[in-house]
Amino acid sequence: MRNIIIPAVLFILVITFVALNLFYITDNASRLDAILVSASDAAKNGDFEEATAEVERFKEEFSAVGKYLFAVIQHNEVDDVIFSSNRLLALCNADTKEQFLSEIEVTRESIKLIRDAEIPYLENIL
Amino acid sequence: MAVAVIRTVILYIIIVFAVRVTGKRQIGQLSPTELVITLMLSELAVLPMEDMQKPLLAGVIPIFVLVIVEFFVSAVVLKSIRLRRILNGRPMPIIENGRINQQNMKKIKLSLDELAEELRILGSYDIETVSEAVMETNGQMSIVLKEDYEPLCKDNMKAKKEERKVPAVVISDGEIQKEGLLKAGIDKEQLKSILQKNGCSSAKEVFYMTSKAKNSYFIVKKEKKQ
Repeated sequence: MRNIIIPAVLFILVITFVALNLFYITDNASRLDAILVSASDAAKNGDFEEATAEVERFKEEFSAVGKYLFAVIQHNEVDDVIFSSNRLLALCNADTKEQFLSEIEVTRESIKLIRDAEIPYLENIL
Repeated sequence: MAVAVIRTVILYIIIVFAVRVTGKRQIGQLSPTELVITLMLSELAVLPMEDMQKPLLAGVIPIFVLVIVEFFVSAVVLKSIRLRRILNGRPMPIIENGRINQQNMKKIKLSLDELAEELRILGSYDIETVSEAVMETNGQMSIVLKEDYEPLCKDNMKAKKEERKVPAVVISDGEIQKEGLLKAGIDKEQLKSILQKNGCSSAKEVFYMTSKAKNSYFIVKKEKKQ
C-alpha cells in the first residue's frame, strides 16, 4: 500500500501545481488584458497621459508576472509581450493613436495566446 | 503545463501499448529490426512531449506506422528464411570443435576479452572447456561444453526419471490465487486448515505459498512490521 501512496501523493502534487499554474496564468492574463483595454479606451478618448500611465502599469505588472512565466512557458512568448509593451510606450509618447491602438491589439493577442496555451482544450492537446 | 501533463500521459500510454504489441523482449534480446523500432519509438514520443508547438498526431501517427511496419516485417520474416537472414543475420560460430574461429571474431568485432566475459557469464571460466560457442542473431552467446566438462545429469547416469511439475502459486503477497488453488487441487476450506497447521490464521499472513504435489507445500510467512 505504501508503494502506491508515495507516487499517488507525488501525482496529486503535480496536478495541484498544474491547477495553481493554470489559475495563476489565466487570472493574471485577464488582469493584464483589462489594463490594456483601459489604456486603449483612454487613447480612443485622446487621453494619452492616462494611456501612458496604464501602459506603464501594465509593464510593471507584467515584469512581476514575467519572472514566473519565464520558468513555465516558452521564453519567446514572454519576450514578445515585453517588446510589444516597449513599443506601446514609445507610441504613447509619440501620440500616434492608430498605431498605438493596433499595437495594443497585438499585445492583447500575445497575452491571449499565453493564456490559451495553458488551458487544456482538445485543440491544444492534439 | 496542463497540456504538457496530458500529452505526456497520452504518449506514455501509446508507447506502452506499442512496445507491448511489438513484443516484450529485453534490449539485449532484440533483433536488429526490433532494436531500430524501439529506438525510433522513444525518439518519436519525445518530440511532441517537449515541443508543445508540434501537434500530438505528428508523433502518434509515425508511432502507429512503425508498429504496423514491425507487424508486417515480423510476419514476412517468419515466412521467408532468406529475408530473415538479410534482416537478422546468421548465428556466427565463434568456437568450433574447441578451436577459436578468429576470422569470425574479426567479422563481428568481438575481442578475446569480450569472448572470455561472455563465457564467464555462461558459467565457463576456461575457454578450453568449451566445444562450441555461437554468437546468436540477438547478440547473445550460446555454448556447448566439451563432453568431459558437462555436468552430470540423470540421463548420463541412467538414473530413474520422474515427471517434474512447476509448483502452483497458491498465495502471493497475502492474496489467494484462484488458478493456483485449482492447480494444487485444494479448496478454500482445505487451504484454511493447511494454513492453520502451519501457524497462520489467514492467507493475509502468508507472503508466498506454493504446492508442488499433494500434501507438499512451501510457505513463507509475512515479516511482522517493526
